[in-house]
Amino acid sequence: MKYFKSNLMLLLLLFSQLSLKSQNSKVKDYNNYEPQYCEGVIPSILNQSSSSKAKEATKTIKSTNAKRSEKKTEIDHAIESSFFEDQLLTSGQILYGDPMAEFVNQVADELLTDKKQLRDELQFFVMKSHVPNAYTTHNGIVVVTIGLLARLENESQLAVILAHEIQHYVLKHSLQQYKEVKQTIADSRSRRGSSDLESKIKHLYRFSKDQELEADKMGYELIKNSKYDLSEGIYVFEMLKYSDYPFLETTMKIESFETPYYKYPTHIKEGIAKKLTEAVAADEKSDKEELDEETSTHPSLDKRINILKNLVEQKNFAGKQKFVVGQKQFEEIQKMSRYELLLLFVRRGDYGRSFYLSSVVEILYGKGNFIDKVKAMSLYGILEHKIKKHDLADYGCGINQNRGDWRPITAAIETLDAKDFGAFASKLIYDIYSVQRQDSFLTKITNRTFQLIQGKLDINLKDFLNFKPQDIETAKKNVDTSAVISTDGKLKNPRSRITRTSGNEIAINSAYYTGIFYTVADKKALESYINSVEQSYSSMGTPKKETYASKVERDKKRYLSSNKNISSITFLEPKFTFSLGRVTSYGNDIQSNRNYYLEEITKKNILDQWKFVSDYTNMDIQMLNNSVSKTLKTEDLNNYSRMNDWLTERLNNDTGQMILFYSQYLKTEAQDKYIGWVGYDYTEVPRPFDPLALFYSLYLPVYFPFYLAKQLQNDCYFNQRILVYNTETGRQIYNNKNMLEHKIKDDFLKAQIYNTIYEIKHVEGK
Amino acid sequence: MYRLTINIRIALVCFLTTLGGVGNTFGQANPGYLGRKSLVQIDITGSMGNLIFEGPIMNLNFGASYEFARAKDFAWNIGYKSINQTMNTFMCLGESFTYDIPDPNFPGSTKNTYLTDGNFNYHVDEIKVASKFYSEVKGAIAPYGRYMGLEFTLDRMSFSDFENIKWYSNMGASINDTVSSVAPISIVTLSFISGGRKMLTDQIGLDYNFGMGYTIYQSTPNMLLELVDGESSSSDKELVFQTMGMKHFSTSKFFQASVGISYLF
Repeated sequence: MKYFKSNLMLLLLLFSQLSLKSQNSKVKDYNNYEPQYCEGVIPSILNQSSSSKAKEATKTIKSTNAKRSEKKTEIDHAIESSFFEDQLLTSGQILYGDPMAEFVNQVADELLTDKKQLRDELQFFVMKSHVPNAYTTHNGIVVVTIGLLARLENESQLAVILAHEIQHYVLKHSLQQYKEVKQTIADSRSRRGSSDLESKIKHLYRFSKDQELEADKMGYELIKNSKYDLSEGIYVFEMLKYSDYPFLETTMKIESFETPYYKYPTHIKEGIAKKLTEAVAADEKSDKEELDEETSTHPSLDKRINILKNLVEQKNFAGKQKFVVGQKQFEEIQKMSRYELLLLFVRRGDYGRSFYLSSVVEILYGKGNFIDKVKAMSLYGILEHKIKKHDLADYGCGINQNRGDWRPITAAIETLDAKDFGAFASKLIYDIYSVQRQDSFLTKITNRTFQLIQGKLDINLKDFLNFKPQDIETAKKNVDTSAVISTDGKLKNPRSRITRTSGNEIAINSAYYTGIFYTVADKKALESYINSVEQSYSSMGTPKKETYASKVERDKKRYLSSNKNISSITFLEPKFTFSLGRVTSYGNDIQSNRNYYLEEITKKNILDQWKFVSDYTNMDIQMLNNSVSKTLKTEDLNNYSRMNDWLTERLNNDTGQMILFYSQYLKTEAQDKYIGWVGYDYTEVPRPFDPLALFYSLYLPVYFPFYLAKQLQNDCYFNQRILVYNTETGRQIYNNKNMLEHKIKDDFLKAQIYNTIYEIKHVEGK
Repeated sequence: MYRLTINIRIALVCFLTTLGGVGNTFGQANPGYLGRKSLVQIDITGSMGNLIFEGPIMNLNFGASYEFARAKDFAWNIGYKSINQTMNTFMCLGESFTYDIPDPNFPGSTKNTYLTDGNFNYHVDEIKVASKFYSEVKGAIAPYGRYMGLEFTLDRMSFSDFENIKWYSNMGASINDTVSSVAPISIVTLSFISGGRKMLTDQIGLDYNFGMGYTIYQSTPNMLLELVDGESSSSDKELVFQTMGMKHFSTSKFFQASVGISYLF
């Protein structure tokens, strides 16, 4: 018995340890944060094909006694909703089963404790989007964005938002709105080429001002009956009002990076100050325009705040709580969503914002490798785009888009020229790198940064080492200020004034940024690092200037040399749209309606053909599946999302090659070396009457049957777009856009796919 | 349609343009249809130029060809075709094929002689060289899809099996003047072709081809225009048969349609 007892104790101990371990494994490692993907079992709606769901919905609508025309609109809406919802849920942007989505579901449970039936109809998800927003679909799918979660302060605020969204579903607002603006939706939505998920979701589930107020009102009722504090709703509206601002602010100016040996020249500081004052003026102007309520779909936030304030004052909400599920859980998901938000900004290429926010998160939650990496990545990203002379407003440094405390630093980044910024970025990146030299990603980024500033910006890295503080002093002394001020009665060309001042500025400029590394503690390490970078760069050889002849020679080599190394490519499952349309005015404008059922069937066929070519050739083509089916699993969706994230980041960076942040999260780089994206877009339009062809056919009667056959057939537009990237270098190795006038047939598809694979193998040269 | 005034120089320009075009299409080596760049083809050609003649509308001939793709959208096609046609005077109704023979009653003068009855065969051995531009779609992969091109043929026409040949003079008397042999003719033709290939399996394809062509050179002294329209008259008996054969053959190039099966490898 004793033996048994001790054993039992041991077992209990083991068990408790095991359970502790399993709990520990669930705790997120924020130091080395990794993007959150879905967890647990896949929702059952994703195991039922979209067409069967649409058919079921159609059946129920047909059995009702509504008017025929109304039924038709309802059916259209049901079909579109069913297919779109699946597209949304499998887009790789949606999270379920993870702590954030779980928490949202728990809050929803609390809200709807008395309404079990309604709770069963609704499903709550989290969407990977930086925009603070929430959406409700026709079939009861409520989506809350990460941008929103990162801004919330307590659980009640989330409850107010959920209550509002639930009312949109209960009141069937999307159907009502669809009926009203069917024509405008049809006009704008179906124009070929517009398939952006977020713009579409806004179109499909955009509600009128009255509907918003109605949902507000009903939502408040729901909150009143729950344990949540309604007064927190006021904050929600205020938060939406400040959506252009960071979720938490800290003052960050370019001066904070100055040292006694590294000071920005006055003209740079003046330039930044000028930009900031201009931006404030622009703000006032745009604020005035925004006041015009006619243009916005939502009622003005001030109006909503006032309504809520009145409501809160009238009634006593004693005993209501800010947290019901739990403050700890909320704080956990708040932290997680803020880390995710950093990732989202990096993925978007909003490097200015991610640089600023990484400092905010650092103050909030302490230092960490992940935050350091985000910071380094942001600086490196901006440097790449600065060198390419891209508009930095597209990369999170737009002064007009950034309001609040992230404006000064983003304005400074935009104002600094590439050389100034190169020195600035290399110092900050080196600081991060010098602490974690073993990190492969940081090593890559740091090496590339130093190579860039040396190779592209012509900064002599030795200047950093050879800097002496006296240089600045002597440069300052050399400035002949008397020449600028002198009034000796002689007439002067004002242009000479400019030449002199700028001459003096240059004397300081050439020295000013070289002092940036003077404060580095371990100078020996810096010296050895710079030497190693210089050596590796010189061994690479300086790029030659490209002449026409050398370009032709290079292209020839590319075409003729076959790269046998590419033996496997991972493709995201092809995107496919099938639409039947009509030409509105001859030759240019095509309006089309998507045929979702045909899309589903043809997509399967396209996948079969890809599989055929994969088996046929020696190329190992892995297709990451995300279409709704019985066999779809969470793992499939996560694999798809992971690749999709990498591709999104790559596509958001319009550069020839770039090291990407998400390349850290690929399974293994060798396995996922080549990533591809395939898109097909097929439209059939009745062929416009061609009088010339008729004339010819009448002249040569033998051709008349051929003319007739051609005229009776639809015009086909078959767009094919294929992109392939090398994840190691971030280089695009294949980009093909074909506009084909061909029907989708098996042999044609096979040939096209085979041709693509052939070209990929032959295009990338050494 | 009947104004066929094209001479051999224009044809040469066409041919050289074709070659020039080929040079430009070597941007990338040809991937071929699923890696297959060559094919052999067997086809049946129907020549519908026979409409001008009385008789069977379609003249069906078997042919075989070999095609090899040299660029992504370009292929050469080399082939052989055997054409057999039985001609009789019935087919030439409404047309008059005459030759002049010396009139024994009036020395020094000739009399016009009509062919009134009889059959003969002509046989053509045709070697063709065609350039095909697979121009249907961007990114087409020769040899697959639709194409347009030029087809040059070198033909050798021989005559045989003269039976029951009867002549009738304009004086009202029938003349027995048998024919034993007619010298063969060499012909060069040029056709614009268009068509396509649809794959039935990964290796076997169904071909269809349309062509419009004409004779650009022939070794007989007739005018090309004469062969197509108008009466021919000469003092040479052989030329009557050559003209008949040429006229039939040349017009049959106007509309050609063929269906074939090809095996890709």
